[in-house]
Amino acid sequence: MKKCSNILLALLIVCLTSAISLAQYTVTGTITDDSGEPLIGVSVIVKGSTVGTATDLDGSFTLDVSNENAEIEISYVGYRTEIVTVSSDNNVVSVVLSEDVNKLDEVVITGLASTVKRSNLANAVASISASELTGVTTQNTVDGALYGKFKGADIRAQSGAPGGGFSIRLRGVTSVFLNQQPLYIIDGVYLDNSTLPLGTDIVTAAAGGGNTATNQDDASNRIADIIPEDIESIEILKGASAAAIYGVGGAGGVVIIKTKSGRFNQDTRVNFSQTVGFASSVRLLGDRGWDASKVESVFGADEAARFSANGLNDYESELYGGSRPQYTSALSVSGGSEKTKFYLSGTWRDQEGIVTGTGYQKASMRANIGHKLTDDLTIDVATSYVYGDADRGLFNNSNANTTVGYAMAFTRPWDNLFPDENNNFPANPRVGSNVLETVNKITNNEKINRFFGSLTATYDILKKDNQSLKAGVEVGVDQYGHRATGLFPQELSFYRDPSSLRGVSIAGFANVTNTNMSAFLVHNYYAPNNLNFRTQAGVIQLDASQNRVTTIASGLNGSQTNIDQAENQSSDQFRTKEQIKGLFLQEEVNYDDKIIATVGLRGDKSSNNGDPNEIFWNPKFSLAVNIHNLTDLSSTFLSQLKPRVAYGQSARFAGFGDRFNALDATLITGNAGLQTSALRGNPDVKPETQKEIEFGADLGFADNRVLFNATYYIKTIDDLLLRAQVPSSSGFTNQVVNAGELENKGVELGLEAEAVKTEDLSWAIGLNWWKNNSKVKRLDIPGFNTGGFAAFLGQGRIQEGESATQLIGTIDPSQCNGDDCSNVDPEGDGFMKFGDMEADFNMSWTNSITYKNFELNWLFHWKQGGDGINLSTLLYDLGQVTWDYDDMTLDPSGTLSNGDYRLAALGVHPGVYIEDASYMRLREIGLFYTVPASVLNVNNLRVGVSGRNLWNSFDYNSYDPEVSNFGNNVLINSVEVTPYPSSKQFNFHLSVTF
Amino acid sequence: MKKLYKLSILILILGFVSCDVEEILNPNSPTVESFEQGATLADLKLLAQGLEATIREDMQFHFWTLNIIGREYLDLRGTDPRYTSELLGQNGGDLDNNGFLTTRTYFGRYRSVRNANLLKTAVQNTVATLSQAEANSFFGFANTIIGYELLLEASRQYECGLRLDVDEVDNLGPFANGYQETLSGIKAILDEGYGQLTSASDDFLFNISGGFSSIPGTETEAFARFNRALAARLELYRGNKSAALTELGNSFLDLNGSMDMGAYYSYGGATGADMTNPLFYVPGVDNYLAHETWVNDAIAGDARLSKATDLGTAVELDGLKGTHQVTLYASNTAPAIIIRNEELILIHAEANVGSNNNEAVNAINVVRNAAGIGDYTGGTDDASLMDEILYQRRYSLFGEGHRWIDLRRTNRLSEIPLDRAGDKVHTSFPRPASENQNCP
Repeated sequence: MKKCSNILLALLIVCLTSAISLAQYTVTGTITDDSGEPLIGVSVIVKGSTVGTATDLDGSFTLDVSNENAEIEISYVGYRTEIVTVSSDNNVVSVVLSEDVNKLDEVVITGLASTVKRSNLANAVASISASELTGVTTQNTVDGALYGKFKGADIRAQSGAPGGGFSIRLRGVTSVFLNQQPLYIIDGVYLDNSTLPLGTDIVTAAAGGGNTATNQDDASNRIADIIPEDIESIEILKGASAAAIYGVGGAGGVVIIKTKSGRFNQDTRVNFSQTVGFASSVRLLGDRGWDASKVESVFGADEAARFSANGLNDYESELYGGSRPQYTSALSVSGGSEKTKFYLSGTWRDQEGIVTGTGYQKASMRANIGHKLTDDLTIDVATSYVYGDADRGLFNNSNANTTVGYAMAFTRPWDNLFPDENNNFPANPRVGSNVLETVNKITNNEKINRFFGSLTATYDILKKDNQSLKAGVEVGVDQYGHRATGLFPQELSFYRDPSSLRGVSIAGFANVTNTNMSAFLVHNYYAPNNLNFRTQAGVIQLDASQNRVTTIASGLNGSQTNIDQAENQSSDQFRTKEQIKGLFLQEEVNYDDKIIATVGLRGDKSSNNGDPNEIFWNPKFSLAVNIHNLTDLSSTFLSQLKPRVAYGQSARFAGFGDRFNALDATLITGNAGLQTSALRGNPDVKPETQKEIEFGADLGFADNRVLFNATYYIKTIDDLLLRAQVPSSSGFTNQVVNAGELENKGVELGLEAEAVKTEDLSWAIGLNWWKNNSKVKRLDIPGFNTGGFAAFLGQGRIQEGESATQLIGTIDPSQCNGDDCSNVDPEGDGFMKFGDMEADFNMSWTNSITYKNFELNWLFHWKQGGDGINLSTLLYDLGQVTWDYDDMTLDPSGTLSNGDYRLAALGVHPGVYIEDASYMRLREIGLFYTVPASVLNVNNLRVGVSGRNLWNSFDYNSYDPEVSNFGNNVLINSVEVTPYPSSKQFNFHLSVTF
Repeated sequence: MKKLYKLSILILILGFVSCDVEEILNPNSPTVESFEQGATLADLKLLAQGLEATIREDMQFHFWTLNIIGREYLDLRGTDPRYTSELLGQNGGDLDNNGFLTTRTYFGRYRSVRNANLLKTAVQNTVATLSQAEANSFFGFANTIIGYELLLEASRQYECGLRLDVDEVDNLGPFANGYQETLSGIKAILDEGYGQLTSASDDFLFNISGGFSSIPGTETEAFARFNRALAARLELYRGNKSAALTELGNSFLDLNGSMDMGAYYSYGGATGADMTNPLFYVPGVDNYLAHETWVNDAIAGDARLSKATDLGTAVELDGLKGTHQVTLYASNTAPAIIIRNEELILIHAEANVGSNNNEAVNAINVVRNAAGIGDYTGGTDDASLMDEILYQRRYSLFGEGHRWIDLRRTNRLSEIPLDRAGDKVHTSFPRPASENQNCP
């Protein structure tokens, strides 16, 4: 306990040393932008001190300065920082700030309570502005909006269902079984990003076969609740080297989101924007090309007769072929007086899914208010309420033939599935469910009511010329209720039989509460010789709890859906609780923007650890050298040269419950009982630890109109928490143990160029290229398969010396030398490698062209390599209705058709199901026109058209190579089983500011 | 300066609070350790009732895989390709030692054994005052269940052998050397349980389901008879006919009794944590189809043919075909068969072949007449009687997981019909990969 307080005390004492005051003179001036408009709220500081002020409504300022020939630093968000020299006889300045196109002067968060200019940054921290995020086209969710916008990420959609469901991995695989998703912090609130189950397993029986995971229900992760339109900027800390100070939560990286705010002394602005768009399927696959003779040769004379009688129906177009509308309306009001600033917004989004009965609606309200109580004390409040309502449809795996996707694989186009005039659907003569009936009659819905908000108070304890001390307290809360509703009425063809489940009603309620509290001190000291020391220290406490109750009723009473009216009910409650307490310290030393060094330390304790009061210390350090500030590079072509290095550590605690040998409740004809669970507890489980080192260099050419940056990182995760298989004769299947080491190495390259910059025309180009390779360096338990369904259908395998994301399967005998398969299976474990989920590289290309009042932006994203396991085609093959069944493109010997070839491999090896999931997409494109202010009596009127995924190129033989039957948060998130098809979108925009 | 101190005090208080984390115990369920020491009678009841519930876990995979490999019936639902590929040895493929068809039932059986061992430990260390007879009722119950579960798995692992002593999780016993040694070990466990049940209180101290109530006697007497029925099955499997006859004498064998008297898994339906019978197939929906040869080889008028119902149309999948849906169970709460009098009568018949063929014919006729196909008229030499008994077992025990074991123990696996070129009949299941020890 004392440890924590001593540091703070010491800090306070340091601050009490006072500075010497000197003779003063007054400097005045005005600050304007390129067009001569005054800039309000510009920061004006005497360089190397804490003395400063801000410009008023006319863009002018007054500042008392003590030394002669002082340098004044003038900075403003979005503009390049300027430095002017003043003296007692040169004390009136007039400065024009130009836009900070290459973002070198942007400030980036590096500590829990401090920021640093990008040009001084030692890490490759990515930042995304509002215009990059939402300025090109409409975004469905924040995570889905990040594609291609920064380096080092693997972002995947798990399906095309409206309402979210994305996985983001920063710099490779960082854990095998634990949550790899980054930590999201919005305005200081630590957000929950859980995926709450929908409980549809009773209907789909997806877990009743090879993979007992119940995460096959395509539920969405809760970052979907954030409103992209409210976001001012996003910063992404990709690994421990940048995120160490965030402690154990930040092992998967940290995504820091800042929402928009008003400004002090700003006239009130009202912005209204409306988007109307359409979504349609990215791709339709078609049918097998049926005619009477083909039907007869495949299915026999009886089916041919039915074919002639019923004709062909295009059920794929019926289900996925439509073009569905989507609307987004957003209203925001922002402004500020001398003491108070505010930003208020309301957003409404309504999106129909491309499948009947699916869609997503989201409404939100936000109030961000800042108030200066005194010159020294500022209070900021940022609050948001979100309502979300997503109808997800019923897709993915099923062992009962009930999902729409699965049933499609066995539906023949001449089967009649259409309803009669009373909307009664016939049963599917082939399989358990009628796809048209299912989409029309079922409900699979999730609703969210979420509040999150933060309160931050900062107090300037001390303000002297050469030092300052600031104290702050930040409190955040994230609270939501999640309701999963599943209605599968008795009239469904698969529930009509009196001995079936006779209708299912699912009611899931979850309550999730996360709170965070932190208190910190920041001390700034300007030593002589342009040396600046900034010290921060603080404490933090995070509490997270979840309480989930799912009740499933079957045997519905006629058309009644109320659970208590049903014959059978069963309930399941799941609770988690975690508390983390942490302490952080950080020291930054800046020598005249020439050499910038940082050291930091974070200590954490967690209730998820075997010993909850054991402290885990994670240090970090970083160094950046601005060589262009140290020596004169003007004789060279370089305008910036900054080598940098950063190192940091992080940890991840074992999952909740991994410590326990739990007993589960069971029931047999009214007699309650207990049974052991499959997971064996491990009371000695330790956290897995992460170490990351990154090296890089930032280069600028031609007065920084061309910027190039390169980063190389090595990230190792030791004491890897693995679900070791235990001999199942023990009555357990798995136990969580610390048993291995994983390494990621990667390269990130970026190029930004202002290709053209004239008064009328500007053209900025950005190129990003990144790749990551993972390797299991050490494994203390035998290699094991994970993910997927079975080795002969393709799985992942954790194996020493191999990539953590390799895809393996049973051996393809044709690749062996006779009976000797050691060439493909040197370990002799009976499995060979068929691919790897990880991309060879990712590349994105952004373009921003402005000509007079026109603006054209586009973003290409190319993922090269990275394989997926496509089991959809196999299921269609079993139904003999695959679109490419009769093509002859797969069999190297040219004898078998594609369908027969895939079926011939069934049970032998999965080579033909593991496909290249490369893609190239025009992720975003937008063309906008800003109506000149003189034309209309408004500040700004902007109209435009845009699109998302309008152009897609991939060889993958299904709807989309981005797909995951097992949701977002599993190691092998590239297994496809008849998913919800993905969509492309086309939008019209109107935005007006008063 | 005053303000400054106030604020710093505030921060220090926060810092103070920050330095202790409460230990959070599992709020979702109790833990094993709390039952191993000092269990109350209520705790013992929960463990015993839980054990009867646990034997149902994943047992469907046992019956599905055995029925399908024995070509009694086929799974043409198309819900997982492995039911038509891996199980039928399609394209000559072997069973996957890490696939769910191998691992789920193996784990399920040993999970019951773990729970039975937990019950035994809890009874040994209980704080409840139990008489030796009352304690024996728990021990006899647990050991009989261990014997049953291991016997199920022994027929799958076959010559691979099983671990028989798995009480200590960190020190699992060795694998028995082959099928015979495994059966001997299981017999000893069953015998121990039988001894305990015959010196136990009349009733169990917990509620047992109705699954054993058709067997005559008090609760523990009925369970002892069930134990001996399993012992008789085991003796038949290891070719010890005289021992089989001895065990039958103490079982619930009744040549004049109902064919269906016996031991069953019980199901309460989809209520709470209870289960539905996974071997019940929704008519016209769940395409589990009797193998065509089973339908075609039947004697006209055999009542046992009602175990499959003609759909009137053929269902085809993956080069396989069927017309008769398996309708062994009438509803999803129908009790599922563990062992029935009909099997005991046929064991009685088979055990008499070679020593008392007349008695064998006698027993065969009991079964034939129950099926409505009249007395046996064929030869009474040993070989003819064996043919007849295997034929009757094929129809009497249809869908109960016997055909494959019967043909294997009589060296007739080659008689199993293959439907597609490249298919084969597996002889046994591989030892699960999780054991990290391959079959010798």
